[in-house]
Amino acid sequence: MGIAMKDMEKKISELYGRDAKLSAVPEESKLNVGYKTKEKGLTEKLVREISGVKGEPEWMLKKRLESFAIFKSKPMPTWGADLSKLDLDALTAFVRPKGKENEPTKWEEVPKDIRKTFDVLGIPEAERKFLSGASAQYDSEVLYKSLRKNITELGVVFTDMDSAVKEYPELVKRYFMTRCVPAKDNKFSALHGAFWSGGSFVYVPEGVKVPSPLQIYFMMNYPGFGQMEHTLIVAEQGASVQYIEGCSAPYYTRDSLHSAVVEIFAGKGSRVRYTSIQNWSRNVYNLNTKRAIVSENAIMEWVGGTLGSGTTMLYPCSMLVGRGARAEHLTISLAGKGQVKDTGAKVLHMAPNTSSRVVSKSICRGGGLVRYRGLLHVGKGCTGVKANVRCDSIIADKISVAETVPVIDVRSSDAVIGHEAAVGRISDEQLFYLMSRGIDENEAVSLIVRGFIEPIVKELPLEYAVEMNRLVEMEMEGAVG
Amino acid sequence: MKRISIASGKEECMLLQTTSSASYSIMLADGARAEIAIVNSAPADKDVELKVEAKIGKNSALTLIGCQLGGRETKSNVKISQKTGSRCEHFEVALLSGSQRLLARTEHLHNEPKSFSRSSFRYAAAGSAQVNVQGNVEIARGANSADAHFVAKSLLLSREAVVKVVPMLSVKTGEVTAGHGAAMAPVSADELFYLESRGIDGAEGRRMILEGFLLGFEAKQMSDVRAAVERKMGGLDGF
Repeated sequence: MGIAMKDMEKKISELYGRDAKLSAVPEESKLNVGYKTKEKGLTEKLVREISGVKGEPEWMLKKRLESFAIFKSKPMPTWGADLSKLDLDALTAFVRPKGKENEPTKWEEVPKDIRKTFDVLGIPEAERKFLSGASAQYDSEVLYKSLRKNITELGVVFTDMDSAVKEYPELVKRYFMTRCVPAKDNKFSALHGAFWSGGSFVYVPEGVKVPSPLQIYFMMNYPGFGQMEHTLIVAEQGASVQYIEGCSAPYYTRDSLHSAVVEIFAGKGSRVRYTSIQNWSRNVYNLNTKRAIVSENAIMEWVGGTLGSGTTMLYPCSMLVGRGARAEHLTISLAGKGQVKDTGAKVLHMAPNTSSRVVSKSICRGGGLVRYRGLLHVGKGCTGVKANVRCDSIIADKISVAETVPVIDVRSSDAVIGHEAAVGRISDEQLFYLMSRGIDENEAVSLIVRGFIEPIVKELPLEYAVEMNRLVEMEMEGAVG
Repeated sequence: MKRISIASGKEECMLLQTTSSASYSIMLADGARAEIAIVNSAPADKDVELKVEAKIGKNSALTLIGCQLGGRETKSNVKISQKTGSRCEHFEVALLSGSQRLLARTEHLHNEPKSFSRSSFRYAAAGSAQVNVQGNVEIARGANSADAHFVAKSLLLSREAVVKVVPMLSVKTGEVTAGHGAAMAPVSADELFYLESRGIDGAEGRRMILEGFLLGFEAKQMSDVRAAVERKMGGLDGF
């Protein structure tokens, strides 16, 4: 999500007719395809084709094939959201965007049609204004990436995952789907391990503090597509970095899948903030696995807004493995008509004196379903643990559903744990008070909702906070009355 | 299955002591009131299964107290459903020691409008006891103006004890007030210090805090429940 998004929704609607109505699948020639895999269905041959097209080393192909075997052996999950209509074999798993073969190094070298899309999203403007580095992925691969020279000189690496496999093989071998999110973790991490493409690799050396955020924007344009980018962030001892992801897609008549894996290694005393604003179109199944391993005295912060997609299953996880490690999970989830948001947070306290805070704010309307699903685990011998979970929901009408399923598993006698959840409607009294002060009903609803999500929005960079408020307001339009 | 029916307009109060598996069906007719306490004091070498199904009629009120003290492994299943204008206060108290295990499932259904419930669960686990609780509050579509709140609090009294709590909430209508909470903490050092400064030694202080924690609610049959809890506390080491 870029900063110049004042009219993003309007412009996206102009470009694609997003959410106003389903867009018919355009002609292949208008989809900016540079290369598309020939193999139909999810097969071993397809795994080999993707790896071959990318020119990957043998060890990565081996890893992909191992993941594929795991994927085939695991059943589809039967808990959470209904995935029975998701036809994995109907997906196109790899689409290389037009212009990728030229490896653009300047924004002007990106093909005009694609550039126009990212211009609308404000990517180049954001890069100029406040980012240390910016990257843009179109369908399967990153088409544009940049990192400020002064940041490069500090030894920071910010590149796409495909390049990292070739340029930093030792680091990738060490961290890529090994102990943070192994392929065997779940059906979709195994799928990802076999068919992943694109994403980011961030490496911040010891003691380096990246002054402003790194950002990547994902665009999923091809109809019936499976985007599976991989994000790997390694912050060494004492380092700090803020990473931001945004995403969007046109609303086609064919379902798409977004199955990302995010792995974060927060070294001793480091600080990592991962921000994600998800605004996929409503034909997208958004099934991700995001996890961080947090070392001694390190701080891991997850800040997220889940606004789009039809079905989302997302539970960012912090494994606090070092003494004094800390995790913060701050999320907003919004479900409108036809949307299912099964989201939450997992925190595993696996060392003494670790602490965590989870704040989840959900809003549902128009028959949408929001479900908070969380896990708070305190291991045996983990003394001095403090954890707090707060999950609140607003149900804007009589046909929407809000659920909470938090699991609290404590095996340490001196842990101090708090969990609180509240579900309710927009208060008539608050509405009446605001309206008695001359504020019209829609504006009053907007003010109340802004207050509700404020604890999370205030953690976003200003430009994102403004945009988040605006997107939520748009979703809430006509929610009352 | 023992059937307990409270007729319309009647008010009853009963204490049910059990030392083995038991099953209760509680029916409150419209406008009835009842307070029912079920105390499980089964021998420590016996596995127990307890089932309670309560149906609360229109404008009636039930106070249900479950007290889990005995049994080697206790499986407790409580299902409560409420009609229009009904009220339910549900207290669960458990004090486990040694290798006792408690597997408790409660399902609280608000099926109709203007139903009100408060559920307060207190668990204390000593020795290598394990508590596994799943509490589900569901407010059905159309149960407008329902008001439900569920709180589970736990004290772990030893390093080997384990508590797992899953407080679930499912709300299918907009015009409700609903919430849940869960908390776990050790015996407060501040409270112990305060009591010691008043001349109460550590063991007695811990006992007082534990008793206050478990029995912090009001009921007509409080003295019977208290007596059962105190008997169990008397057999605990380290107090």
